[in-house]
Amino acid sequence: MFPEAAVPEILTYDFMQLALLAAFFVGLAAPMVGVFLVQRRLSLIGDGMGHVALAGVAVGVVTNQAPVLTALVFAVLAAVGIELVRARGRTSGDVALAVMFYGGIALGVVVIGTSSGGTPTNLDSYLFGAISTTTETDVKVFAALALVVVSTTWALRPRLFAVANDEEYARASGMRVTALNITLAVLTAVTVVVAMRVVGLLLISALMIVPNATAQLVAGSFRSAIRVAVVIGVVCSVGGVTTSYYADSPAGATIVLIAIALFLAAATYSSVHDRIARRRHLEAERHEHEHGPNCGHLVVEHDNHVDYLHDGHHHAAHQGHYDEHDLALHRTRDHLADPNPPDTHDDPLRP
Amino acid sequence: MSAIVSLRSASFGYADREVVSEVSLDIHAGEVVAVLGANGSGKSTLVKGLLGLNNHLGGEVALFGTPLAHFREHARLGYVPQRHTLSTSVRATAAEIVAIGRLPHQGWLGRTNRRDREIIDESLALVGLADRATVDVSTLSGGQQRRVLIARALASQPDVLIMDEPTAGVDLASQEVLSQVLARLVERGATMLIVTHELRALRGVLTRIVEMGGGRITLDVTPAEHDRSHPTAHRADHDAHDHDAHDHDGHHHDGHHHDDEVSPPSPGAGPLDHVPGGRGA
Repeated sequence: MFPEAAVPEILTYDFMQLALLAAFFVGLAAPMVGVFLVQRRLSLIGDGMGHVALAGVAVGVVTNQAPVLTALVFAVLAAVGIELVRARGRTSGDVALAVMFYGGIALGVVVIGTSSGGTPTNLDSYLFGAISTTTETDVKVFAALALVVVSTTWALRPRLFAVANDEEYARASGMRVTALNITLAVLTAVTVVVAMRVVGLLLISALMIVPNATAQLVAGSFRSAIRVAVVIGVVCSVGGVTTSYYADSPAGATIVLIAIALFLAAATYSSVHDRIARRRHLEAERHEHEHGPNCGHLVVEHDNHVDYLHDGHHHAAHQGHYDEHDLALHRTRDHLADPNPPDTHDDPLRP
Repeated sequence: MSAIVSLRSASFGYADREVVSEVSLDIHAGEVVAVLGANGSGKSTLVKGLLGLNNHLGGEVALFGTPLAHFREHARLGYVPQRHTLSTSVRATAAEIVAIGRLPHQGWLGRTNRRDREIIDESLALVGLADRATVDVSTLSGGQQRRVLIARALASQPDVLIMDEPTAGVDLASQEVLSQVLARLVERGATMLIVTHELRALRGVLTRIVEMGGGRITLDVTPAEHDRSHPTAHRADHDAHDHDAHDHDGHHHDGHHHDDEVSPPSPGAGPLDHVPGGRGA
């Protein structure tokens, strides 16, 4: 396919090509679904679905069905069940989920352990991933499922965002909230199953959540956060599989450690960045007046934003307050001449 | 003109528990109605019933002449919920939140076109947040978040705004700004139904005051009549507590609209009707 010299060694093996492809699909789909789980504060729900999927894997192994298929059935049923329990809004719903999750993992171990052919070690490749044993058929199934997850999530993104942001408003504006929530749960279940051979059922939640946690530290909007998270997800999963090939480490756990390393790097960067920004930036005095197009203060175009000339100070909107900007120095002031500037809203404007 | 909201002996509640009973009320275009009442008086249950957020248990309810059970034009009701319904678990800019208000007008993919963006910008400008469009809402103050929610409702180009406690838990400075925003909307002829604990921030914008107690309407008057029957309401420090202490007995009105009330500047006009390529374009 490629001239030998142009291809890195890792790509000369068929099983590694398949592994990298599978990793790419998982890295793409997991953070896309995960962002809505983070938004709904359901970060650990994927972990629970993984527990239930394990029972499906065990049943598949014992009955000689494809474990991917039986795991998919179990995970989707769990997803619908979770949303129905949540929609009823009972306080005992939390306990019901715990029963479902731990029931799933216990059932999986017992079914495998008591069958003649299986031992609990058969489950290891599903619990922690075994990407190098992925077959071509597996990869085709994963690719198809990942495509479904990615395109459905992309199409429903504005509605999933609206429902996760404010469920009550979404309901009042006529959106089918319960249907959208069940759809998200099913997308999560499918992602769990797609990822179980790559990162494993015990670690899949990490790939859905950690890239999003990282993106939240560096992005400024929901839109950019999704993009950053998907890029991080792909970098971690493909990078993890590559690393595992050279370092001879388990792929799933390597992917998760890379994701966490990126998160720690972003957290460090963002805290240093915030500290510097806080030192360089000075909030204006608190005033009840809100600047606006007709607020009576002179508007000064400044870089790519607008300053309001307020009693000789330049006030620029920043987060929930106003910053003091020094036009001459072209940066925020380090100090003010008068620490308690008088309230001058009724004074004539100074040029 | 048929009423925007029309209730006849309506009752609302959750499951089989009736919270609001036997309420009759008509709200017409251009009216700005405050619904007052203590906690548990049923005022929130009433407006949530209109929005389909709880169960309609009896009586007749019609929105824009359509029975509630068949009402599908949800975007005509601009709902401004309490602030705590807004999740700030992930980054979202003010403009992204306001864009949610456009969803009922968009195709099934819900993609934002140029006209949507114009309406989003216009809505943010109306609540005085034009310069915070790209700011993460979780960094905004409580009052500013409230105004983002008002802008989201405005972006759906509603015929009536339904607000749940817009001024509760907001600092004094933000209350001032909120009052200005409400006054600006009234100037444009907006119809509003405002659930509130206290009238102070709403003085001057209301055309009608409805009080609830025990799940029923106990008073339905003009602000002037309300002042006469509640002398303490003139006090600047009038607040929820002394308001709730009033004895409403003997004030049970029939809940019907009084035709001699202040006529609105331009009845039926939505707050965003002047947007380029406006409604229905």
